[in-house]
Amino acid sequence: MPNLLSKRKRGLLDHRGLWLLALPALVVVVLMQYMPLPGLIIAFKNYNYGLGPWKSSWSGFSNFTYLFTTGVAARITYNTIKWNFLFIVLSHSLAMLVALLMNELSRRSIKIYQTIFFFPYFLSWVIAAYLGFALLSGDRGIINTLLTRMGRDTVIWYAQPDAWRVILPLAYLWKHFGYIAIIYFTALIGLDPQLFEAADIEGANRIQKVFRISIPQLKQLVVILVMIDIGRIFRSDFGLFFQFTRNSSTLYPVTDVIDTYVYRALLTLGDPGMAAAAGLYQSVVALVLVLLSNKLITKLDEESRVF
Amino acid sequence: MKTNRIIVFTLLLMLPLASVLANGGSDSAETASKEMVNISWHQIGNPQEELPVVMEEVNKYLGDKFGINLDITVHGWGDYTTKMQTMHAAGESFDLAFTSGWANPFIPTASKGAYLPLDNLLKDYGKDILSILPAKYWDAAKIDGKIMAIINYQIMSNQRGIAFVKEYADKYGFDPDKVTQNKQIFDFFQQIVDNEEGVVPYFNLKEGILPDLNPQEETRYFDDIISEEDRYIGVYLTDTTPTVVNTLISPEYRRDVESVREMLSAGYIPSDFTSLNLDEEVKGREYASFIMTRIKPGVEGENLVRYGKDTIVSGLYKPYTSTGSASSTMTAIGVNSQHPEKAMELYNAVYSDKYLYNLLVFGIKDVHYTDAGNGYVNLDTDKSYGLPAWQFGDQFNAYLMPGQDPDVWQQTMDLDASAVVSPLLGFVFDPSPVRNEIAACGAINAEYKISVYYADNLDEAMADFNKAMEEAGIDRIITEAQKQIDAWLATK
Repeated sequence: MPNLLSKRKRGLLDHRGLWLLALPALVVVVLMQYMPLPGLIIAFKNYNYGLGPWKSSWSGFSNFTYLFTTGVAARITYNTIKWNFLFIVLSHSLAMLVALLMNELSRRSIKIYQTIFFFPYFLSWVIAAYLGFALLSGDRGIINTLLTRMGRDTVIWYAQPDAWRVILPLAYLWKHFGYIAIIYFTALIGLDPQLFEAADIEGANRIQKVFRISIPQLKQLVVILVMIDIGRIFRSDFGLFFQFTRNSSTLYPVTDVIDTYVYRALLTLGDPGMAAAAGLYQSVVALVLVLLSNKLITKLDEESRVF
Repeated sequence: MKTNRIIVFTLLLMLPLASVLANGGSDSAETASKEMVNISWHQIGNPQEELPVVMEEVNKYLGDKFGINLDITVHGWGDYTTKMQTMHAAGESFDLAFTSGWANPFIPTASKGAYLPLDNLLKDYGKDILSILPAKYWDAAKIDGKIMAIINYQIMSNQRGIAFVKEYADKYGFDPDKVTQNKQIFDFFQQIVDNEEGVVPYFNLKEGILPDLNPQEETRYFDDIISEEDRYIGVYLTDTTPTVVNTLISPEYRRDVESVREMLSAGYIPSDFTSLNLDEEVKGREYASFIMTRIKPGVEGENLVRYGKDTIVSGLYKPYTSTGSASSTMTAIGVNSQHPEKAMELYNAVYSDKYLYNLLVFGIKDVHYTDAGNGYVNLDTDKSYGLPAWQFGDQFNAYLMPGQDPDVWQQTMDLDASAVVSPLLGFVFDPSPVRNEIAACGAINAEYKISVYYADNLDEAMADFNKAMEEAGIDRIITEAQKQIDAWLATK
């Protein structure tokens, strides 16, 4: 035991720079993610503000029923998984493609592309929603104005669920792919140049280099990033589904996800116990999804598994 | 594994430690201000830059008279509910807070124990409040027979209306006060469509105009039981033996939906009205009329200030008084308040002391307003300040604003006296036995009530709507509401 401990201590000392770097993030994770965990108890309580979380009476699973009682339950679960799965696939493929292309460009032009792609990531969905509204608004939107000029009928976009099957992914990509692309790009420029030099000597062309060197080298990073996204699959992007659609209820068949449903259902009641129940349900399913995907990855390729 | 256990163990240790620290802090603060009592008050409104200046003046007055140091925090219109819900959930201490059906929702928070029962405090420290507010309204603030909030005295009845822009009403000889059937309003809209390019006839919220209703003689059909948003169950305002009905299958609801569809197809309202915002629209685009969710005497003056538009406001039905309308502006005392009796003493003063009331609402004389004579104020000063007058006790204490009639408060009281009284005035619904059904029905209602406006086949859409509501348990809510109403009637 003493040996082990001292070894560990030495490890801490050796990597103290890295630990110091990670410290702020660790503090945030502990404070924001672990400290509130005991509060989950209110998901099983008739929460009373006066009595507080510990003294309120137990309610069993009754806080969970509203999530599953109606036909909506299937729809919101399906939409949540479908959209997030699609978003993960689309954004990571596009990001990878763009990162590979950027890698072929000159340094100066990269700065420009980087800024253009990355910029939307910093806009809040509220602002993005107004940009979207400028395009899609019924009587004054840019798209409808163009349609009128072209002599076509206008479309009430906020009452056309089918159109949002395309609009939602576009909006998501516009806002997110730049962020992932930058991460991939950073990893690409960090690759050992010797690998490429060797390939040049062997006479490999650009395409071959991409498929034989760049992509395989990024595999580990892709797995980790995708895994993080899968962990969030049940916490969909509330801003996208609520703000960007202007909470237009005619679009719900396409845009309604667990988060927007819970928001709507608890608007009148404001019951913290029922809200906590929804959060717990999302977290448990997310945990299961992450464990399953890790298992799947382990089966496909032992080396790439995350844990 | 071991590190995990250590982390969990440390966290468990830290929890009680944190609460000890928190308590220690507040204890020492209390002893420090033994003579002067601090009272905190959370309000809704536009945050005021000049608030500290006004509060200094207020506290000079309160300190001498009551030994109170008042601290008002104003949260923005959009933030207030979230901020207060978080404070309730965290058990944070506060003394006074605004509460109502539409912000910091009263029934769920009060029934979950966020506020102190006030019956005894009112008797001991709130005598003026009890003598000013008519006794019939108090039931609207009761949960389980106990008063849980102080009702602010202002207009107590509720009436939806339309503000017609005077320019267009005059141009087409339309007199809103002469409307004897609401469908006459549609004729005015049609004239706008025919003759005024680029002007939208009407901005409505998510509801229609009942075409065959006579706004001078009849009131609206239902009193809602759960909330303004959840109007899928209700009681006919004319029903003397209150029977709870599913309003969605009533002919009145059907006509309301049809009127919206008619307005959509005739171009009376913007095609995507449900995704638009009233204030943004009326300020940013030319409308010939727009909805007023709650009208009251003198509201034309407020429209002029808010939208810069000269309007004629008229009701879509006669006013009615219900639990919801009587309890639409209230102030509660927090369950963890350190000085509930002082808080009540203060509120009693706000309710009855005209000087204090107007100081809080309008600010300091000759700085934030000037005296325009005859009880009127002139708000056109360098420094702007103003908090919602209905948030402070008795609004009938307020100075008059430009555009208001000299007898505006008398008009308000007359209007209240003429209002139809709901058979459910004083009944407060406890949603907790059917909260799962209310959550599910609320979500379904929010979805379908809009989609029926756009559906190709209305019959089919309405049938789907009703089927979904049945699945979500609307019948169980109706049964529960009827049970509670019968029990309430038995106690009267």
